[in-house]
Amino acid sequence: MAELPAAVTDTHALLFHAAASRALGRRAAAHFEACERQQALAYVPMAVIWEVSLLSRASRVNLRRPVRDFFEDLFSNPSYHPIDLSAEQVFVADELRFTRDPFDALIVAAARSIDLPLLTRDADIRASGTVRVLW
Amino acid sequence: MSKKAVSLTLDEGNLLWLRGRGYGRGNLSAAVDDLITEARTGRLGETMMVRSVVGSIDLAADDPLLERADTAIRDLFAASVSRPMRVREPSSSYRPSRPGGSRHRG
Repeated sequence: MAELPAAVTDTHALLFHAAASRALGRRAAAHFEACERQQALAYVPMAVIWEVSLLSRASRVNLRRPVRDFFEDLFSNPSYHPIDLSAEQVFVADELRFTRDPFDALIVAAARSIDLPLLTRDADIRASGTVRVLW
Repeated sequence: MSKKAVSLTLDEGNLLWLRGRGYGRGNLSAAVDDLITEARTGRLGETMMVRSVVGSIDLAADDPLLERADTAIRDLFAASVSRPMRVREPSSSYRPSRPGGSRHRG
């Protein structure tokens, strides 16, 4: 089978996509559009799922349904897949020294664990060179 | 059990799902065999319709770029760790018997 474009999503990238926001970068938007057409893959780290739930609780985002239902809707599209958190990801996150944000560290570690680029606008992640960035 | 060669034609969505599960790089026959085994043993759920999430959520009107999202999460954690921790040890079920009721010292 031919390889499909694949990437890991950061929290804000997924939320911009779900909100149909223009804040999404051009390349990230193209990737999500390909996912909607089921012509690309987007992987969602556990840290992203948790961060979305916390942002919903803090009223920074209105999912219009429970967080469980939001992700069930997302994963009903076979282009989107959750990435289970592993002990190895936690070890990699611990070894990253460019950020003190635990969510960013776990998200970068998830992208590294499956050797895929990360959809993010985060300048610190880009500057760190720890993972390839698409935005 | 012996194996038999067959030709498969798969729905594109199913093929995409197989790729997403990492079967694209491995043995497709083994993957399909695994899935049929799971289906036969009742471990697979019902087929779902795709429900796009695009345009289905709202970002906070005062922070549409989520520039204060990290602060909001830090505040949640700060509020959580600043709460006093209440620890209570379970009382022992063993109580020494005190014949004659209460005892007074001294």
